[in-house]
Amino acid sequence: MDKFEDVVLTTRIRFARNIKGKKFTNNMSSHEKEDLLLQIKDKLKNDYNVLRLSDIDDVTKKSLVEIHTISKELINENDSAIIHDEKNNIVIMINEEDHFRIQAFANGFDTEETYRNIKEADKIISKNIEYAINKDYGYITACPTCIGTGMRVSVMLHLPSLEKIHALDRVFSNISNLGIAIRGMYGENSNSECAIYQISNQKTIGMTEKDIIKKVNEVTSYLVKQERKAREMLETRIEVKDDILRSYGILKYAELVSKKEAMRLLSNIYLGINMKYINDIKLYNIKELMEEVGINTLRKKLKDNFLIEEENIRRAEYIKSKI
Amino acid sequence: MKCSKCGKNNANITYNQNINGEVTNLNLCEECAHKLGIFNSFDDIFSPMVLDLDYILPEEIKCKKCGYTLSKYRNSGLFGCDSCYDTFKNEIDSILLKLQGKNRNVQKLESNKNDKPESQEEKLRKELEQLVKDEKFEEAAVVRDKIKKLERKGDK
Repeated sequence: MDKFEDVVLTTRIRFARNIKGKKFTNNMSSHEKEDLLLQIKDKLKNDYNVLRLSDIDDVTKKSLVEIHTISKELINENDSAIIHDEKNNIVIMINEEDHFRIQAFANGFDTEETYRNIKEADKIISKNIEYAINKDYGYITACPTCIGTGMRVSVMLHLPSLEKIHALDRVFSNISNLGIAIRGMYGENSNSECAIYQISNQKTIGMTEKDIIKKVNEVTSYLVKQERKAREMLETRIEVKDDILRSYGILKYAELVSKKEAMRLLSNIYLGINMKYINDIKLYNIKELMEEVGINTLRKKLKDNFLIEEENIRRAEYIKSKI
Repeated sequence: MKCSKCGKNNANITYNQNINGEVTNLNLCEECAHKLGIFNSFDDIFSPMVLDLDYILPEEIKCKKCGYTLSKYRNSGLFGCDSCYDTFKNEIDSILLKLQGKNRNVQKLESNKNDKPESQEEKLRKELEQLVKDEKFEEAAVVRDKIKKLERKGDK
């Protein structure tokens, strides 16, 4: 299967689940949440290790938010926890908006494997804990926008060429009535600095899980095709090649790099590798770097809790060591 | 002060009711007061001045299980527990139509812990039902006694 790695960065699927007969997290007292967490921990003890967020250090928590593994809301919540199943690329948030937010991740485009992994995790939890389900509404969630399947499938795409030829509006309007939401990843909706866009299904009820995946697959294939076409169109434009190679030059020699600048330049290099202008770096390394340039993730990677004043110096050093 | 019934007009009538120690104070506008049969002047002094207060201030429906109300949902966008979806079914049906265009699940749900084998008591009850249907009353009586025994055990 083509994982479209020239365009698709990651695939993720999320299931929202709640426990039968329990109040939702937003309606619980701190005491009740604590109690629920202990019950969950006990019921899952044979299958999963439940890690309380309060037992995780601050830098690690913030880094997990930076790389979009857990939500900002989760770290602000008392009595929240996570389960991390590294082998299957699963992270489960506990006591977020719903009692469980099961997430499965994959590199590139791979809804098939992601779906398989999340179904497996879902089965493990439902074996131990009875979910809140309703014959009319399916899986019950705190927010009606998630109800039914409780499933959100999202694909992160790198669309710099469509941005450069100003075709994004046209391309997005072609998919606007398919029930797919599009978001700029690092800058809400606007031209997203690094050309990363996230698409996900808006509807969660009245469709089966497989139908939702099929739709996301279709839209992803369409966007990949359009982006590839746009890249062909850019091949004749020397200013694009110039911009890409300049980006490479800056990151190779700069002493100070902000996160925003890093994302913009890495995005250019990612495109440059795909257009074969840059041949001595692996695509995967750049993708990894794009995830690592947040201040707390850098602190984790460097194993050094450096001061905020040093941020841009340390970032420049780190990137230089990787390219 | 705004009228406590319509919430729009200024309240210029104060209504105090004390029935067997249950005190109610309402501030109403003239229009609402008339609608409710409270008269500004005591023209109709012999009218029964006892109001159906439930009608005046309909108590907001609360989820029996968690006490959540629809106005809380309107504030937060979230419901309070799984039973809210039964309590507010009508509203939720239309909320879902508006939000998602559909309001019925079509996904086959992961077999849950629900599928646990039926208890001995449940089995016996089914057996009893069948025996009664078949008019096998003697056997039914034996089964009934077994159920009673189980129930007594459960009470302890």
